Amino acid sequence: MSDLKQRIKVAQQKSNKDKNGPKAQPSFGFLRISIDLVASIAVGIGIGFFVDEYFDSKPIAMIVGFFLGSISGFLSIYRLNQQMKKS
Amino acid sequence: MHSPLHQFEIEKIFNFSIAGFDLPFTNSALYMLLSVLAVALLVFSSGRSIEKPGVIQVFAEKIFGFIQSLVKENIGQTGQKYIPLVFSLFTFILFGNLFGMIPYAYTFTSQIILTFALALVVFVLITLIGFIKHGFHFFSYFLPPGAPLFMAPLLIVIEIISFLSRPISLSIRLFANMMAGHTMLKVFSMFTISLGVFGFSTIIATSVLIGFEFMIAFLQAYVFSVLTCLYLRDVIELH
Repeated sequence: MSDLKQRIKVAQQKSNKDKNGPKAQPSFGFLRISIDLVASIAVGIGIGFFVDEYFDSKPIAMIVGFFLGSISGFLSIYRLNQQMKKS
Repeated sequence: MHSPLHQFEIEKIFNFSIAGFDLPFTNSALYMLLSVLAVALLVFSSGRSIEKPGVIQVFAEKIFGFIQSLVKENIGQTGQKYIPLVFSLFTFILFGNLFGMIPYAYTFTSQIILTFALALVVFVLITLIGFIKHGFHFFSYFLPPGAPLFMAPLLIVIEIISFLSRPISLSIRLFANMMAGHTMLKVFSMFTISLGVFGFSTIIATSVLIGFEFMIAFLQAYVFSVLTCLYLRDVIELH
């Protein structure tokens, strides 16, 4: 009986070792890169547009938003690349 | 001959209104209903018998096992309670895409409002889970660990833009893939008629494209659920 308990414990530890900690797996990064970049820029421009509407400062916030959105898009591409390298 | 975009037109099947709101039953709604019924069939046919599982039961349990391993690998052992969410998203999108491949059928995933609504559900959910799990500590999500403090104003804005762009990229990816694929199929099949004798070459191309479309239909449902899992892990683990 104690032998069985011991074996169950060992098996549980083994399965926990396998399951714990999500491992990187292929998430089809190449399908995501282009749209991540475009969506980030679109969100940046959109936020800039509404800030401009509110403060009546026509093109300034939109231009700033475009650059911030581009940085954010390139950052997400960089992260995706790191993630794909790992897996 | 209809234009290539005619297949995305929404038509009323019958009118219907609740409390003054006009809610017509459209062809989009019909295929959504069919998709939900197919998912319900899967759910109710699983776990029926151990000795002699039917075809539908094996199919349903295979999909469930697939989603279970997906969630386990992407979120970890704590992610077990999100299996129903990921399973329903995956099967709903998968059946929508696959029903759209039937000739004369309507592809409801080619409507941006539907994919955006699905992505918004995921977005609101991950924000809520982040707040419930971490409280106001959730705001530290927007500052990457180890960043110098004087960079914080710039980094926080960039991270917020990156967080807000998630539902948009999720919805546009699914909608654009389905719409582009179906439009391309229609354009290629129109060439078959206009090329006359040489139309057989486009018939071959269209057959290849249809196989490709089936792959895209599965892949996009998979990518949507994988990204849901990744976003959930981001807010659960919080760096």
